[in-house]
Amino acid sequence: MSDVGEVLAATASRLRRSTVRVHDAQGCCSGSGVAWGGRGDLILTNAHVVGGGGDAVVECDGGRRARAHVIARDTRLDLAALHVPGTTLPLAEVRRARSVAPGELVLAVGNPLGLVGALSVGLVQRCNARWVVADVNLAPGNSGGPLADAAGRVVGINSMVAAGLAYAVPSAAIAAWLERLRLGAMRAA
Amino acid sequence: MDTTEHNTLTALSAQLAAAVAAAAASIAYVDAHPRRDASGIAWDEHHLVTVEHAIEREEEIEILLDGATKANATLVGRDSATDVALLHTQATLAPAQRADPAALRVGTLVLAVGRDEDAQPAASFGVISSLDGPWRTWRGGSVDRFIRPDINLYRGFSGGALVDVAGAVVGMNTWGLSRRTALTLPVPTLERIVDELRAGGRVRRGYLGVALQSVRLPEALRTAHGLVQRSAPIVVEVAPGGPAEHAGVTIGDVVLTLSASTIQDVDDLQNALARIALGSAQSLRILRGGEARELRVVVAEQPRGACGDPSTGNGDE
Repeated sequence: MSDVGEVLAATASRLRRSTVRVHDAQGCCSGSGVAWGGRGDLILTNAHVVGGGGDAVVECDGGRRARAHVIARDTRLDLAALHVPGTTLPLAEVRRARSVAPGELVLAVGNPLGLVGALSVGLVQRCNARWVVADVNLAPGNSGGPLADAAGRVVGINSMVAAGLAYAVPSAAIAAWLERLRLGAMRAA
Repeated sequence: MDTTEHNTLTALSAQLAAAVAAAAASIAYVDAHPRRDASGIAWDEHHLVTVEHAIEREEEIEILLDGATKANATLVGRDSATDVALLHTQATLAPAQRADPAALRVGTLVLAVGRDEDAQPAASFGVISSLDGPWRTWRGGSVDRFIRPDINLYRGFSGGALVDVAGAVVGMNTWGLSRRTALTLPVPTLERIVDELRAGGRVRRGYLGVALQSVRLPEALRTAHGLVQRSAPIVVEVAPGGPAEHAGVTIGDVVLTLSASTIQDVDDLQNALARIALGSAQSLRILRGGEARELRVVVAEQPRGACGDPSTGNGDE
């Protein structure tokens, strides 16, 4: 494949297979999520997408719905981890966001404004330890979905839009959070 | 990194990131206003261009360079008509690479590059949306080429660079020249203004001290006086003590020619003034009460604060 458009479509389609639509237990507050770990049954999304309840519903690429349990939630980082029993989604490839440079192309896949699996393309405006800030058009519904580099590797989870810019929680911060959760669970055991 | 898939998309991404890094080496954060963050472009080893509308302090201007280097700068000169200011610093700058202006097309991929208050480079991405010939700003500054990028210019991006995908500077971005859209001042215009600011701290413009409004000339009047133009500007205001008042111009006079130039509208008069030496006496042909008259006017330098003269009443903000 040499055509930029074709490569973009293929990269987006690969990313879409690891992206889900997330509803809270009441079926509202639709956002997005990304298959991050486990056997494809650990989904990451934003804390604000799943609300405070213990359950959520995920809708995979293709429309299959499954019940998910919120196993961890951090409102300060705006992250939530969901477990979807019996589901094996293709895992998204993850890249640590600290190495992302301003000017790199980024792709966002999500469900903005009720659209399913919509693609937005833009570029990294700037980044620091707290946020990857991207010049890309996002809308509510992109929340919790992946922001990926040109190779389709996830650099962050889209969390909010401010002054027209997309703010994503960097992959490095997500990995650190998951590590803390794992250690916490081990200590409690 | 070896596992990364290499394709045209990753190659494009790498090129854009490299262009931002190359351009950012010449881009500074400029703090010269309590509320308006701006960026600046290193023009040579000790000079930066930035936007005039973000300059409040003329001294003790702080700049942040690549690698978070902090330096002080002072104002060399400013030109509100084109929204260009020139700063000097003792620090050594990396002068920006200039792009070939002839290579620019509608649809050319471009990046806007600025620097934020944390000294981090910042970028956005778009295309050249519209190109046109020379134009005049609402304050009367003349710009060699109209360039409108379709790009998001975020807070602090004014005074930063519009660059091509090789990181070479096409021009300086500003929100200060239109209320509706961000525009880019082309490199040749910046070069001209910088030369004038270095020479005298300001851009000197000819001034008559009149406000004008274009009107259609009735066919009978054109025939009677052998006029080639279909319209001409009528004087609606005369500045007290200005060159026009000294020459005897009054409200209601219709301006026909200045020096040898036929005047059809305000732009024609601006262009004629740009070609006339300041302080020289020139013939000004007018119509008053249906009669043609010839006056002698001594063209003066536009006083500071006088906006866009001769204008149609555009006030300063």
